[in-house]
Amino acid sequence: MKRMNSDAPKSGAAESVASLGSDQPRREALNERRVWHVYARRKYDEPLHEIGNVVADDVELARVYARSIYDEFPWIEMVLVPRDCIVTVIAP
Amino acid sequence: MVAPALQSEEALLNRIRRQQLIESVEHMSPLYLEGIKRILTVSADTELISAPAYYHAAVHAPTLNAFGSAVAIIQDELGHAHIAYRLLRDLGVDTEQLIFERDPRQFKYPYAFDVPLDSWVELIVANAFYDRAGYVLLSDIYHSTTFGPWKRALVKVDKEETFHLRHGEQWMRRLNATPEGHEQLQRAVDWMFLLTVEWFGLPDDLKKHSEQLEYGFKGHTNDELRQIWMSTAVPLCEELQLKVPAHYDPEQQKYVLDCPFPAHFDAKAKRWLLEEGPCSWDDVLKRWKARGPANEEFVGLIQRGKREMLRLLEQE
Repeated sequence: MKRMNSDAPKSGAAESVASLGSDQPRREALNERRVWHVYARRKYDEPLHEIGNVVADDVELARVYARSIYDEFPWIEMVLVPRDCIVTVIAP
Repeated sequence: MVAPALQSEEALLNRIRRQQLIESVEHMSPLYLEGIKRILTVSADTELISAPAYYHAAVHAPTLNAFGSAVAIIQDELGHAHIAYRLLRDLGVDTEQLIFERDPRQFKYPYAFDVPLDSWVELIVANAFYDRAGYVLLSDIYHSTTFGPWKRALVKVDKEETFHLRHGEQWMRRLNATPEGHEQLQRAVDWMFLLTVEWFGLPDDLKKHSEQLEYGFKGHTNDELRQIWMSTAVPLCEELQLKVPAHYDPEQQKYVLDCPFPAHFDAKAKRWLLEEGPCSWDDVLKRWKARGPANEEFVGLIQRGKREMLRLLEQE
């Protein structure tokens, strides 16, 4: 669950640098950039585990994207965690 | 993009030998990064283009339920494309450029999707043939890939591709029950079978990117994967008494083709020019590179919405 955070701030910074130098600011208007990790579980006796991620600039859209993309099982619980809130303790 | 700190070739191979998965760009060597980007792009483009290609035929669905199933399959494919492009973006690729600004001819999906599916029959044969090819390729990647995030993401993808090919098989069995249905299936199989055999790419003795196996991007070679595909596609056709130019040879213990291969293909007429005999793989590469009849239309369908929205924003 912690594996992606080490590269997140770097790639985020790199992307904003790229957009600052861009001569197409409008192009960036449709380019969502906040990454949300999706966790879910199927049974009450199993823990939440990471099933994927989505990119959305606000939490409501992130909810919709997660529901529609990760519909492979009838989950009993699904939560979102913004990637930039994850703290790595042990890196893989 | 700031260049990420990459590993040396030796450090990367040591990690793979210790059976530790590659988790992010920091674990990759420049060569590994380039290779995984290439194979992920092929996978992402293939999933993405299947959406307009299948939609083109889904509108011919004979019932509302059938239309619903076809659209559910399309939604799955878009989900799979999303997963692969997300992984590419985490590797530093500008996926907005890749999806929305790339020339249609630069897309890396198999040639078969450039030949439009024009009926419900062709759509379900595509589910049975093309989704089976996708399943064979992605199962192999799932079992062998050293790239952890992709391996974990493929659990969902494999599950859904199995549903797609079962959908195709069940509809084929159903349509095959009448002589007219059988006849239509045969016509679709006649052009779609060899296009899927071709899907697996150059034969092993001509293959360029050998790092796909060394790095554990894939477990089987192109020719082995072609065999795995035929080992279930040919028996399906035999069960339905559909003629295909391939059979199992017990002496060689593998499936062999009974027609010239590779061969020239008339994409407009959807007909193999087998009477001209075999062509070279160079000829095939030339045809793939020139892309097929629906390439611009299908990529256009993907790219149009963003372009229109940007134009709207310009006028604000």
